[in-house]
Amino acid sequence: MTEQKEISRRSYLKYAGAAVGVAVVAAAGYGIYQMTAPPPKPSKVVVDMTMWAYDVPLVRGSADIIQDVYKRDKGIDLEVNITDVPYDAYKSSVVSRMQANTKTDVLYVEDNWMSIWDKAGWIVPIEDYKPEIRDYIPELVPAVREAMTLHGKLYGLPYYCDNIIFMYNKAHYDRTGIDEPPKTWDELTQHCVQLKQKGVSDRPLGFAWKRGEWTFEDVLFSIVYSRGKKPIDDEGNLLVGSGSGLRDTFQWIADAALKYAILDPKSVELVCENVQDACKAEQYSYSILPSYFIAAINDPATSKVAGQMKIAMMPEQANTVGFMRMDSMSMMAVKAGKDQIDGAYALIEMLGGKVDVDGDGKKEYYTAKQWAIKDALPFGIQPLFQDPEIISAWSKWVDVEALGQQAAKSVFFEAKKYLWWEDWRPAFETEVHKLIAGQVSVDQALTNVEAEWNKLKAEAG
Amino acid sequence: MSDSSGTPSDSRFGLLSILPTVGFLTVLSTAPLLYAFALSFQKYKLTSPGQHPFIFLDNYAKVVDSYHFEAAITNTLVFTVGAVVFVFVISLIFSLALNERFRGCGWLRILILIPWAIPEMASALVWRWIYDSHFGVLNALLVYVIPVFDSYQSWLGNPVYAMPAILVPQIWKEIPLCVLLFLTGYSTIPQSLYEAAKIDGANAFARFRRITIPMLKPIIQIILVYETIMGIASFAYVYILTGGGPGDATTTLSWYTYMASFSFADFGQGAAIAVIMSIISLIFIALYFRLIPTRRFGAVGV
Repeated sequence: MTEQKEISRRSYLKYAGAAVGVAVVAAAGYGIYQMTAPPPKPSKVVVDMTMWAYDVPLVRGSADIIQDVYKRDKGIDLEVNITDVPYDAYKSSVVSRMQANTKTDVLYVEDNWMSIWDKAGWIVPIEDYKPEIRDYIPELVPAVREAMTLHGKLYGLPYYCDNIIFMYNKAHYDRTGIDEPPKTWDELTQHCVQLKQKGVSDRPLGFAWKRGEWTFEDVLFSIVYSRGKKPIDDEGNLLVGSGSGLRDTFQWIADAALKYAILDPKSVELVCENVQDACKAEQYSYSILPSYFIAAINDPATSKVAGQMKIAMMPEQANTVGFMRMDSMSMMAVKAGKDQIDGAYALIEMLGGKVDVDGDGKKEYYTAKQWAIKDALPFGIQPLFQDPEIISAWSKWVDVEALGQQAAKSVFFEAKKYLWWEDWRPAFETEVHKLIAGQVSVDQALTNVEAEWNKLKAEAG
Repeated sequence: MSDSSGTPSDSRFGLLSILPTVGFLTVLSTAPLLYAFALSFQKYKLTSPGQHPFIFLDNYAKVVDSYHFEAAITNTLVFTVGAVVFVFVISLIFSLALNERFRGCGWLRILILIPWAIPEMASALVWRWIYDSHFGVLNALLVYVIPVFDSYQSWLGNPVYAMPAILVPQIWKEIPLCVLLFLTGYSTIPQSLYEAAKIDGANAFARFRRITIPMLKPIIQIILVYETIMGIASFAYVYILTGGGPGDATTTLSWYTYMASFSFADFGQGAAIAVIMSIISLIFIALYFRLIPTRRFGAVGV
């Protein structure tokens, strides 16, 4: 009996020791494997996107496509959740989302807010995490590329990118006996006076200059740029002295409103859709708006002036302001790790870049083309200006070649990159309103806007 | 231990029962206020994440010194006083009429609630269409039906018309609640007082002045306080109809606090403006309590 116990104990120790040795070797081997093996693929990536509510079904359709493409190409389930809010509430909703740390991986960003949101740490330069985004640079419209770049890095891919264009009613010109659209702003004034005298239009000019309207500064500063002048110098100072573009523009506006009574004072309460509708109802002979609106103005189904509104190059130097709205990636996506970054970028690329939708190896700007053909939404991608489908769709309401020529002269309004830009806009708009109402002189208005600019600039350091 | 007469321990039990709910509601309502108050003394710019030093009254100084403040505070006072006066007078007149018995008065009492039932943002959008300077129904009415003007007016773009234009929907929206409050108040006034006054030879105006108004003092106080707060805090009509313009004709403190927080990305400044709005509200409330003292009411007939 004792002999059996001794054998059992010895055997026990032998086998236990062997087991421990095996366990140690196995653990070491597993540890080495963990260190060297690739991380396991996630079963699912969930990307949350917030956008303002414009043709949400189109975006949803593209999101559904990228979900399938992602599964096909990477073998990973991608789920895209979209939250849309009205445009007027979008900025405040993003601020609330970011402050509350509500999961947001992809979001629409407007050029007006880009610098602030970057400084707040909400959006990221995508090329830091997905360097392949730089492959799009040669195909972006230069003004759009500049608009989407901060600190020399690209922050997104284009969603809606447009230019301010000059439109005139050709039928009004024919009735007045004017052959050519104006080449200078003074000539525009003379044409307006003629239109008024002939009874064609009481107030031929109308602008979308309600306070807070998204195109307010783009339209006004397009007049400045068209004079071949910059509103800001290289040190970030507002140029308001004698001979400056802004001074000449303010004088022109004051004269148009008060001296010649050709500018409709109702402009101070109008948004773009109001001006569009007024043009359609033949109340205005001219419109200076984003090119997006000419489709509706020339739509025979709803417009009295369908086919009559023509594009002319901006008077004088023909420069204009281009602006962008882009799909961008949030810092939250970056902090969530590589898989989240990949998923978010896949969605961004689907919405603003090229994707192989059909699996035939050919990548196309699928969503941008959808926007352009279905909604007449302009884009910031140069090759699409030669796309036959887009040309065919757009030719119904606009001279596509003329549109392309104007787009080539568009510049990005660099003031938007200053951190005090959004702080300054309400004061600027107030002074423009007072100018139109005759409540301030040109000198006073310029002094006030400059003083506010300098104050905010000093506060921003 | 339960007292058979039910008074002290029943009261204690009652208080304990409602304590969790009251406590929760108190925390829910005061915590944001206290947080906003604290925020108003901090530098809280979203463009400086993680850096929120205590800066004492700097936010307040910045607000008072700002481009928008003078117009904002003036317009807020004008808007509030205008809203309170017109809401009060119009709802008093409506309530006196609806307090009489006539055919259809029941239906009218229901229909008058409609403006109150419509969400503020929705009604602002409707009013925007009414005021539209190219196609609005108000212009059509005043040019073609009752020819007051010979051309369409810019109700929201003319600095003279803009403030009255945003006041009208505010008054329209607030009248229903005040009419209801007045009607409720009338029902608490003993008819015997009116009968006694008639016997003493008091005419309708005298009865209104000597009985109705004094007896309605608590209701009047509530209406004035509530409408003042609503006037100071009113935002939707400014935001949707005018954006604070034309010029700064309708720039108000409520607009300014929204812009400071969400456009200028300065929560400290936005909080400071909100605190200023609260102080103005408290001043008005203190004034009302001083000018319209109310007594506890005894039993009916005393």
